[in-house]
Amino acid sequence: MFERMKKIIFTESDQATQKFYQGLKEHKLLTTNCLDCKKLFFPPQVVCPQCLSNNLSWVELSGRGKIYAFTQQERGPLFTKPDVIGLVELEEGIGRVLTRIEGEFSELKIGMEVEVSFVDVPNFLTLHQFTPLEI
Amino acid sequence: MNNKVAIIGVGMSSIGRHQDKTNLELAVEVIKDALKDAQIKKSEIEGIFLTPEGFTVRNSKVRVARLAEYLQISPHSVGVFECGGISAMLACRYAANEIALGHNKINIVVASEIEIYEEELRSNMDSLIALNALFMPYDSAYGIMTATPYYAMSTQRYMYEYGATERQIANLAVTLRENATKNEKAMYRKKMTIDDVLTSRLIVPPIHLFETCPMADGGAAIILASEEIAKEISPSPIFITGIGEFHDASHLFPNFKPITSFVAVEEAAREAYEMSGRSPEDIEVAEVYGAFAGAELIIYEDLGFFKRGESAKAVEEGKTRIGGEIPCNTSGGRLSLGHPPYVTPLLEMVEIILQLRGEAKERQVKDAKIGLVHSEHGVVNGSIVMILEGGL
Repeated sequence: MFERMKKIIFTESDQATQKFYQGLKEHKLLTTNCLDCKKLFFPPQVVCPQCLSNNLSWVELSGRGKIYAFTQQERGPLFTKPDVIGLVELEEGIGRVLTRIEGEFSELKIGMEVEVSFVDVPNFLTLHQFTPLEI
Repeated sequence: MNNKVAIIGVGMSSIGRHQDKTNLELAVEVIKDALKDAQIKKSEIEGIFLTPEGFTVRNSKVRVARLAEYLQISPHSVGVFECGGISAMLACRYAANEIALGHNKINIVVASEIEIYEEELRSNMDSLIALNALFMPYDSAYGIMTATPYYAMSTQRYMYEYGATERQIANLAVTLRENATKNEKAMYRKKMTIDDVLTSRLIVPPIHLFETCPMADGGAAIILASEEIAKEISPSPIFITGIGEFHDASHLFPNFKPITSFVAVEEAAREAYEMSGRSPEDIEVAEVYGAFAGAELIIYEDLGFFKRGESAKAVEEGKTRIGGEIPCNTSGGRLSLGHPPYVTPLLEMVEIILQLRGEAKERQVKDAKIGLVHSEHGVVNGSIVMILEGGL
């Protein structure tokens, strides 16, 4: 199933998404920045969502943020179960990212500061995950 | 609307499992019920509007032509509408518009859904990939198959921001179940307590199993007519007096916006109230597309029934029960009636129409004449709200 999901993600994604996943493989959290209207946005796109310009540059995000919300999925097929996933508010103020959160569900709290790391899933993709700084 | 449109006939199946039937058979069954209810002949139908067959199944193309052939109806206009959970409401909106524009006089909207479940679903790679693909290209990689984790995080924030308690959220599920005990079409009709909810499996915290909408098979059909026809042939036509629609620039989880209020519902409701000249206080009975207990509480607030953060307490005080200030989901709602998403908006309409006709039996809201139907898609990213009135 992973092979098929990976293939779908790559064949059905635009250039920006493919480059984002390539960035993860190199352990970088990337997004696009508009060189015309100067808007930094996430996730990356092939056009700027503000001015529709294609004149974009790639930037690496700091990978720091705060936990906005989190839950635990019983059937998350990718990791050792159970699997904590959550929303992290990115430090750059460009919104939230859905990610895996490394840590015990019962020890996590809304507002905790977290930092990105990368996890290589065999036969699949490299994904971002965030770890609390305090635990 | 310039030219008024009324609903003159409804039909719906029981909600639960219809695995022994084909989708077409289920559709035909509810169409026959609606024709009988409206007391019209199939040859009088000028437009047929459908929704897809399901989320886990392969959807056939041009299914409306197959249905027309099967029933030997030659319609003036047709369509199959897809936009997640609002699909059936979109089909209704189009059917109503075709009448309001004077193109057709009588239209039917039909939704029938038969899904794949449990082991068969888990072993069906195509179905799993189709479910996962909805969350492409980013969230899907984390194994997300349903919107439940998003709703879990929305409910977690609602509890965090407003202090709603676990017991208050469970109480909503109990209230809906109480209504379902009076509805012979509902999937779950056994009485339930708050403790039953809180001891059910914690599937995606803070959401317990009994706080989720069960996937279900089911069908429904609605017959719409022009004011002229409705007044001539229907003893109790129910008029559409307002429709509002709004879609936020987001799909599933918005990057920036709050997840403890849904702008799509607020805006769609505002438009529907404005069009009908009604306000939240005028609504006597409402059907709400709440797929999870926590989300339903938020939507009550978006619709203006309660102030921000006050739904949980209002439900605890019985304000949404039959006999309360604003009875919500007298059908049992998505949690207890059962939830075939491509059919649900029609099920909601059927309930409100029965209420406004005074035909809701044991769950009748006394003298209800003004009702509201809410529908949504995604994680409430888009919404259509409809106001229905009887006795006009």
